Amino acid sequence: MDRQYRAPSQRMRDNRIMNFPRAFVQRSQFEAAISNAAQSLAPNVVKIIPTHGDDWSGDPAVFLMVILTDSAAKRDQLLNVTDQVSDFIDQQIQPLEQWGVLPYYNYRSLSEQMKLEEHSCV
Amino acid sequence: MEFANDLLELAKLLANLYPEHPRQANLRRALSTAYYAIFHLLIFEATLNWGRVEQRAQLGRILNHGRMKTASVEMVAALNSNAKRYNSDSPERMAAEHLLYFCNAFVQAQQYRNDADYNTAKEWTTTEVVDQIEEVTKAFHLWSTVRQGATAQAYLVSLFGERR
Repeated sequence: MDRQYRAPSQRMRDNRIMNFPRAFVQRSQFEAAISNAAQSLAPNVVKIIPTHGDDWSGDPAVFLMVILTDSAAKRDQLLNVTDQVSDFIDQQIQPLEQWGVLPYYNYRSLSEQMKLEEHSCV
Repeated sequence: MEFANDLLELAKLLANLYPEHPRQANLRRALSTAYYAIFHLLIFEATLNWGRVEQRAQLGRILNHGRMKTASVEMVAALNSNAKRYNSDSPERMAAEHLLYFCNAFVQAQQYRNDADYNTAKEWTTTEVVDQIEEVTKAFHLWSTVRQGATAQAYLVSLFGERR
């Protein structure tokens, strides 16, 4: 098995050279790729909101807030739909291999998202 | 294993308390508990190979969250790079995909747990929590199908530390 891969946090321990992941440097291209993925995953996916940052251990990450239609977010379908979304993005965009970021997925229904947005406006 | 299963059941229970008006405290504890379910599953499995039963709990305390994450991310990368070597419908490919799902679920659960326990600015929804618990539940099932395989066993060893 190929064990050459090193986790991002390990690769960055030598901080004489700062290596920024491609997803951060080419942010607009990365976000365009995510937007295209969202379109391909319609109608279940309404939109995907990417946020760049570090995860709990300091590794560069992208946090993908995936907004699903209410019907796609029903319990009897939820796992099938969310597995489909993460499989698609992992295989088509390859966030870790091609863009240097760990992808983290959160899923909300459209009605939940709208309710949260209403709360934040009050 | 019983402890890990009990934690997973507890996570489901917490997530489903007050379904009409879910409370943030319950949702957060559900996410945290789901992570500790998969964390303790791995500890149980990783220490099961140690012959001296009375030392397994002590051995398990060597494992730490950071190293377990690094080992899981390394396994994801290795499995992804090796995926093309197998025929799409071969048992080897199936086993690799199951282990890949498990490792991804572990990394996701760990981040969810951190956010649930420490990021008070974030508001959780039932969908986020239910999906996360279902992913961990599926990961438990898939692990049971691959746990005896050579790659899964190598993954368990890698949880203890880096190779020199």
